[in-house]
Amino acid sequence: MQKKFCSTCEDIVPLRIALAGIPNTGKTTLFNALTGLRHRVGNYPGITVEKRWGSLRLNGVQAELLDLPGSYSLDAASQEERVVCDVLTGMQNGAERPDGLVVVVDPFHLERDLYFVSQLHGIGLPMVLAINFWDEVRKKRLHIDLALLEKRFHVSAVPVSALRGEGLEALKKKMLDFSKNSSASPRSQWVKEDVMDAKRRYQGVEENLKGIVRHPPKRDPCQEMLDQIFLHPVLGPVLFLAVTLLIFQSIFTWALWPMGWIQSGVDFLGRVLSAVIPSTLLRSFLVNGILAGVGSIIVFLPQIAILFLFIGILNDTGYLARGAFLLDKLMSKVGLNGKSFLPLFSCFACAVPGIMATRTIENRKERLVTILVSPFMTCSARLPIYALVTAALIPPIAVGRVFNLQGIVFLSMYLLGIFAAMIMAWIFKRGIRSSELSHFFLELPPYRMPHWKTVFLLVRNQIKVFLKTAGSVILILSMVLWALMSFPSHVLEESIAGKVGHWMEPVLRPLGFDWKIDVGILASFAQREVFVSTLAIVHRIESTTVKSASRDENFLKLLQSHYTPLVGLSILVFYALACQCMSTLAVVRREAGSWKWPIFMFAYMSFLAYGASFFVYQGGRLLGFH
Amino acid sequence: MSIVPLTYLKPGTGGVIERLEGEAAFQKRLADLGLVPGTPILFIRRAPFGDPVEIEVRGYLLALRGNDAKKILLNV
Repeated sequence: MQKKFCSTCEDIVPLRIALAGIPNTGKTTLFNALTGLRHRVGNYPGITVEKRWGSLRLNGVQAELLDLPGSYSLDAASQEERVVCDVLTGMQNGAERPDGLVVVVDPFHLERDLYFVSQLHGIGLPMVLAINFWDEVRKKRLHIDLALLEKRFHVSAVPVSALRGEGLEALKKKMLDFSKNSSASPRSQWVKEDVMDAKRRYQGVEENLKGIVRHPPKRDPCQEMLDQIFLHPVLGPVLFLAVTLLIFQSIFTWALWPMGWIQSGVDFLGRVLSAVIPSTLLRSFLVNGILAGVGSIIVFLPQIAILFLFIGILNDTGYLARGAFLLDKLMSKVGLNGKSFLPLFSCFACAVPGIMATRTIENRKERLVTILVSPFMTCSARLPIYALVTAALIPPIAVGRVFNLQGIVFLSMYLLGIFAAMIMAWIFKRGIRSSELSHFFLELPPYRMPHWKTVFLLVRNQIKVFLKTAGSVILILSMVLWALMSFPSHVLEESIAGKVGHWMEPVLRPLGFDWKIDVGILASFAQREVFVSTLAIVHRIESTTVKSASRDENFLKLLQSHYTPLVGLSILVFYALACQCMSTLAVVRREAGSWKWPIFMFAYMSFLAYGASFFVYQGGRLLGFH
Repeated sequence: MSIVPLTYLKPGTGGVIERLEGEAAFQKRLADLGLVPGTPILFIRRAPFGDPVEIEVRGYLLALRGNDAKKILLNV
């Protein structure tokens, strides 16, 4: 439909309208209500700020609505807020100056919202206010004299309820008026203000608001009661832990069901392809190159969908902000903030959805630090490796009466990851320069019921973003890895990958690794658990799947005869710290905006992993182990 | 009447902003959020682990760290 419109009416420029507002005013809900499912997502060129725009028809006139990031002021404190100012003054790359502006206003915080509106006045764009939550205004018997407000603030105001879809037609009518004042207002610039300017502005707003609002409601006692429960000194943390465990449970175990179906589907398709296509090279390319690549992409979808379903609900209800409030103290000790917790926690399942979830962290530097340490969290793809290596190489010696060395080593790998993340976050916090304020301001919005359409659109959006950006990179790299392992011979030892393994041997020898392990490390770059099956292939063990490998007695015996427990420990430490995952790197590129950060991440984590394994292996030998 | 940092308040008590301290950009952000001299503030609670603090200002709830909150001086 989009295409058809473009090809037939290319010469008609749609009316460009921007949507602005302070965070938590229901801006996203209004955007969704106005544009429905017809919206697109991208980035502003050169920066990592998300650009969302959609089309709508205003009584037959085609319009394009640009959803600006939530902002408190035209004096930007973050990259997102700078975009708002730059778009509205026509200075932003990748977005033309809009013809008109819709500002979403929360009627319960009129002073603060109209302060922002009074700043926007200076920009010189035709403007209309959408006074949101009008259903709540009626219910709470708040009286707002809109006619007087329009007169005093020289702006038209339309009462709407984005949630219930009320007042949208009236709003659209006002938006249509933007096309009439086509006498383009002179492009004006925003001049930075100071505290005294802000004070004067607020005094002006307070003065103008006199007599407009009557019967302002006191804070709802129900709301305060919910806060007394959720922010209770003991109950609060306990409830937060329960919520976190529920999310963990769902992405770690419940998501495994659909992931299993997807995997079986991919395997089935692979068998079908193998049956119908005789040619070995083409078949190998389709099955082991393309299908394996596609499979490793779509297998993430259940975890991403479930995680963002929860994040959407938590954000909409206002609980996400409470969680950040609870945990800020703990996270600030290592230089992160309260909002870093949930993304990092999600990384125990998989770093890909975890890193995508860092978008809830507004501060760019803290988001970057969170992203950079997230792959240290022990993800589920490491578990098959840990299971195989501990089962095969770590002796099951009893420690004390209850514990077993295998279990202790397994747990230590989790702790090693968390410890490394904390140390590195502490270092990055000091090492990365940022022009943004590092202060922590968090608005605690009122508790509200989640709006399902908004939640659903968030999930759909995240899946689309993942498929589009991470998916393509993963697919290309899968094909490259396939080529490395298939040419010039599909016997692994004689392939390029096998040769690279041999070349890598002198480098990785000090860690106790032979060329067979090196080939496994190379191959596992597609997905960590591939290490297990590759190791089986190079050891000429037939038909060992990732799942059954750690129970295959022959395979375990073979590994025991080849490698010592110290080598096993060295492998474990290496995998705990190395960023052996191209999906993660692809997602980091998307979220950090350039290849600089994923390359840095891969380099520092590999360096750390090498150093730690070297220390373990050589130190162990000095102590007389082997 | 005395002038004290916001962090000295007890939950449920309030005051009026006398002045802001700290770097200019930080002060401006506070002002954008509605915390300008003359604005009344209500101290709601501390987070369970002691930090940040939650305040009510201009009809909404805002959390900020103690380190920042102590730069807001109130007339109580």
